Amino acid sequence: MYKVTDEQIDFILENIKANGVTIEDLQYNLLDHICCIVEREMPVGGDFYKFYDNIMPRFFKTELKEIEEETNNLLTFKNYYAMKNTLKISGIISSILTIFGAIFKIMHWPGASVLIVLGGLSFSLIFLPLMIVLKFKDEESTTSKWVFSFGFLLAMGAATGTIFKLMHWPGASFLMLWSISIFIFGFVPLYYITQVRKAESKFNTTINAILMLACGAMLFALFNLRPSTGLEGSVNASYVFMNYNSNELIAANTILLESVTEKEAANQFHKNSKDLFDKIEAVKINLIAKAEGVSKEDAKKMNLLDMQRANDNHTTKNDFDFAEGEYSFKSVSKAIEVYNSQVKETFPNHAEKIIAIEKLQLTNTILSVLLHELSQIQLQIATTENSYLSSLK
Amino acid sequence: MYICLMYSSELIKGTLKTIVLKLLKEQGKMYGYEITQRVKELTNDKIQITEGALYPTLHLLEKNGEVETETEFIGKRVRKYYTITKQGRITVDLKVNEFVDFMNTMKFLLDVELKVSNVQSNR
Repeated sequence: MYKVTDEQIDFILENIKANGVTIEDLQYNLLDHICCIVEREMPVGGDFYKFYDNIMPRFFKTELKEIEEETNNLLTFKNYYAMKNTLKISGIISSILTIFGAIFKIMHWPGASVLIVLGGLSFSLIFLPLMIVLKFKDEESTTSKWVFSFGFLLAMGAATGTIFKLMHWPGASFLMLWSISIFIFGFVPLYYITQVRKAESKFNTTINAILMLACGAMLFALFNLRPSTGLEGSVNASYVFMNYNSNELIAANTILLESVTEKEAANQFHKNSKDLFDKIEAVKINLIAKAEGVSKEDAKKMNLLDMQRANDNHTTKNDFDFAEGEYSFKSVSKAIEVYNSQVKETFPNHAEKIIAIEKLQLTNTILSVLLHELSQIQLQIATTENSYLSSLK
Repeated sequence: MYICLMYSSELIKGTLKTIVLKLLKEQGKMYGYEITQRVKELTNDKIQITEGALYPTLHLLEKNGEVETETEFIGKRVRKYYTITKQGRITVDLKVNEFVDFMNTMKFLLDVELKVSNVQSNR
């Protein structure tokens, strides 16, 4: 039997490498295979190099590299199936989680948020990215590849934004607004223009574009979901009514003060009440002025409907909840505490006259609610003073 | 570049995995050249596995964990021996059953098809 020499082995290996086979395993497999052929099939007395040239075409159609390409194809094809499976599973799981999350949320059952967040995130962070990868593999036209991937990317933004919005997380509006508006005004026209040219899918393209536009527009309409104007109107009416009542009561108290006999004590109580009342009024004006960016004079004249930023929660947080100084939550609650201790002395048997601020929503809320609560306190101060003065008569 | 000679490559394209696994199951450990020769022998030269198809398939089977390898050094050469794994045995049974089922279906299907086409051509 012919024995392949070491030089010939080197020659074969170099030749294999030179022909573009880079996987080491494959190089050695081919080397051994070629040696086997040479040793068993070469006629006695044959020329090695000539024989080598003759047998090499058995390994390929046009070039040796094909073997390596075929290997890589097979190996990535396997990933491809794994990816498609993950796509299917993540799609099903995220739909189920989201649907159940929505049902739980509607029913106010516990766990709704967890379901929605998991569903939404698996949709936007597993399903959609995989769609992009697969589109890049499957789609033949380069334009379509980019157009679809662009669309999926925007969908990722919109889906994440929606989840953030549902969870009241920061950045939700930014994500939703940008991804949905780019989707409607950028992607849909782009999709339509690039895809409608394909005669075989012209009808489908049109229908898809309309569907996407409709869904996008509906999400867009949901973007700035605020209480209805009717509700806002009635909330404002009650705010105005409350302020009117406490002012009336304060005026009545002033008249009442004239007629009481124990002037000194009455004057002291009146002063305390008025101080707290005015302090709270000043806090309200300060907040409105800060939120609306107007002068305090203008802020005084504003009711809730005049305000542009009545539902704002930045001002309440920065200029009240966590602020320092005379307009802060700290300062207000301190003043109320002092006032309460006097009320306790004056009305030892009337615990209900104490202003129980822990029952009110003073912090972590929007401006309109805070203003409401502050007016509530003012009304109570006026009432308490009124009943005190009445008792002296 | 798949499997050639007697049968058209399309016909046998999907069966290379089955052939290789079945052979490894019956014969124990084998190396690449041996596999091609053995198939040639067993089928009286009717099926010749080309190298261009065999090695990619072997690599895939190895990655899937259906075969495992051991290497033997012969001078400067390295010979890779392939043996079937437990998982490979499961796969080969499935594949053989699937293929038998496929053949039966084809037989049935093609009979029907032939009759239909005969009727059409006789019209």
